[in-house]
Amino acid sequence: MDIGSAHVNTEPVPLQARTPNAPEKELLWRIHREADAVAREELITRYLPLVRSLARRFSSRGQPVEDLIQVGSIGLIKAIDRFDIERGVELSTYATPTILGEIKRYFRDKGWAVKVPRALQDLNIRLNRIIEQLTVELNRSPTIAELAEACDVSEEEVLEALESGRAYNSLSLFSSGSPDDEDSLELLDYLGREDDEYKLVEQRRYLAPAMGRLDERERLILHLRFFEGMTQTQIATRVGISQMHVSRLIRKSIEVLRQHMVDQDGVPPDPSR
Amino acid sequence: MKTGPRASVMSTASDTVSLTIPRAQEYLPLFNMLLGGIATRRVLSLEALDDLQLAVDNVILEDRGTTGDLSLAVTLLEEALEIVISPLSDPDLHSTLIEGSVSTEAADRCLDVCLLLSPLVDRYVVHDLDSGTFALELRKLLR
Repeated sequence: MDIGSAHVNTEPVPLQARTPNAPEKELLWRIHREADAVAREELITRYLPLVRSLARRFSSRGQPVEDLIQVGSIGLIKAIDRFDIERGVELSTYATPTILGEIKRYFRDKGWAVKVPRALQDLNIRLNRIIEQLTVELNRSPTIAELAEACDVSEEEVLEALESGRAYNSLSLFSSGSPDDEDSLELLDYLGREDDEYKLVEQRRYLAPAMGRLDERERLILHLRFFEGMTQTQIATRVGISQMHVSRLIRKSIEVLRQHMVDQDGVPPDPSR
Repeated sequence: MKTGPRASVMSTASDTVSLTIPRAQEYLPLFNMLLGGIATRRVLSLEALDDLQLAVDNVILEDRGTTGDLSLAVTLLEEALEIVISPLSDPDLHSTLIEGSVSTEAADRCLDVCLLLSPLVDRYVVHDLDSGTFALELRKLLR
């Protein structure tokens, strides 16, 4: 795992190196006024259970929990080092979003299948939001020119950002397409109501063998798009995710189906593709 | 030997923009960029553009085993975009696009391609070319 040069010891610290009874505020004072490394280590140790707890919330999202604990620990250290003891808030209040932010950033960076310049990644993320806003405002899918104007960039930059967005891994945790929405996976609960439609999709003999490789939401989206003829925008509204994310999931699902058919045919994938 | 993309613009009664690329994954996004540029100039919605890109991507990926360059020609008609992909040569793709489902083996692919194209474009036509290859014409109405 490459998480930068920092490595955090997430193992218990020997007792003799600890000051287990010191109040938290005293430790913070010692860290910030005296650069006390022992106090800093003690505080990190005390807050590791919080890091572990937050990391485990992402345990089903394809990355080893130990890696997430390491990443979260970096967030914890940042929180401790940046904490302003004059502000009168609890360290836990400040540390939690910092730890979560570090974990999410890790997933966001992991989500890009190929190297895409940061500026394009950021524009792509902005476009996600702008597209949603404009779709609601205009009551239709926006044009490239409208997106460029709204983002204050050129039309070519919009096209490039959209194209680079295809490099984003649809399997990543951000089901809504919004890297800031950590609760988006709860959408799966909503999808439980669509059982009848899943069955209908499964009955389509030509897709049934491969459909098992898709999750429920992907099956639903394919059904709505290709059997019901709904537009991406309509599907996005119905499923509760962004139009861009619908687009990504359609592409990913088709790729899964295609790969299944290649496997069935026994035709090895063309290595040049 | 791989060659780079070649682009040309032909002005006729309608305008055609064409791009030829080596048939390799790393060049395929150029087709999407071309379609994006056209969409911008013809005020196509983002969703309509995505439909076209998805249609083109899938046709190309279904054309298995073909080698050599690949061309995309986009003609700007008054009320539609006409997109021609050529040369294609996969016999299963050809038969399924023309005949629909014919054989069990091809059924999955045929129905898959046809099913995919149906909501993405308004019309598709196969044109047979010399030496066993064919071109696929996709038409998307500008609404």
